[in-house]
Amino acid sequence: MPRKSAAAEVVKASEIPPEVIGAVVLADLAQIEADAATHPDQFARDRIIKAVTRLRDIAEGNVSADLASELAPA
Amino acid sequence: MNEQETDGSEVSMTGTDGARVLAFPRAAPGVEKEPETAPTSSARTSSEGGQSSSARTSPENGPTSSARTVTRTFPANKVSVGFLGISQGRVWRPKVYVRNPNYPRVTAVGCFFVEHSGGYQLIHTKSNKYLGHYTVAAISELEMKYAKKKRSSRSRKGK
Repeated sequence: MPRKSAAAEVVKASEIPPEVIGAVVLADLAQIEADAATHPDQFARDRIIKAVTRLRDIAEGNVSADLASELAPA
Repeated sequence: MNEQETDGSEVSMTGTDGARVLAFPRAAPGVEKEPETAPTSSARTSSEGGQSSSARTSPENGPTSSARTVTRTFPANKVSVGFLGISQGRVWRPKVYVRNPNYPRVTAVGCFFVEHSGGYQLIHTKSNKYLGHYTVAAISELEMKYAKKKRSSRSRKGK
């Protein structure tokens, strides 16, 4: 008889505190970065890693002047 | 031409003497307005007093450049404020005690890892619910960024 897994139910975002959401976001970015390494297209891989790096910087609050100017509307 | 541009996101202000007319962005709720003459801590302060390629405000008087500075730095502040909940929490940290060396050397507040399908499931401690599944490669990425650096053993060699 298979043992019942504790992870049967997926948690809703509204039920978990912000710091846990932050942990999940950063872990998901790490997963994307790890999966990007196996991508067959080199240019796509570079684009994914660039996007992940930028998103991590935003999530961690490291918004540089260049990034801030990119985010500002024209 | 003294016509000012006032779009929906800007509020015009006229001084008591009627000489200075400034345009500045409307403050969002919860965001403090910056003083109009003080330099901001972020970039784009180099445009003060200088010329800009954009013809956003009237080019005749000096204060328009500071108004432009405030306009351009506002979205960046908004972005950083919006994500500070994640960044300030220090969500991933190295483990203090490593009971099982096969498990990840990083942990997050309110979560724990469970070995599953060649990777690790992240479980919310309070509700015991599933947050995500991460491969060993992803855990290695997390460890590279947030885990304690391994000590390099120093061997004393005879002098």
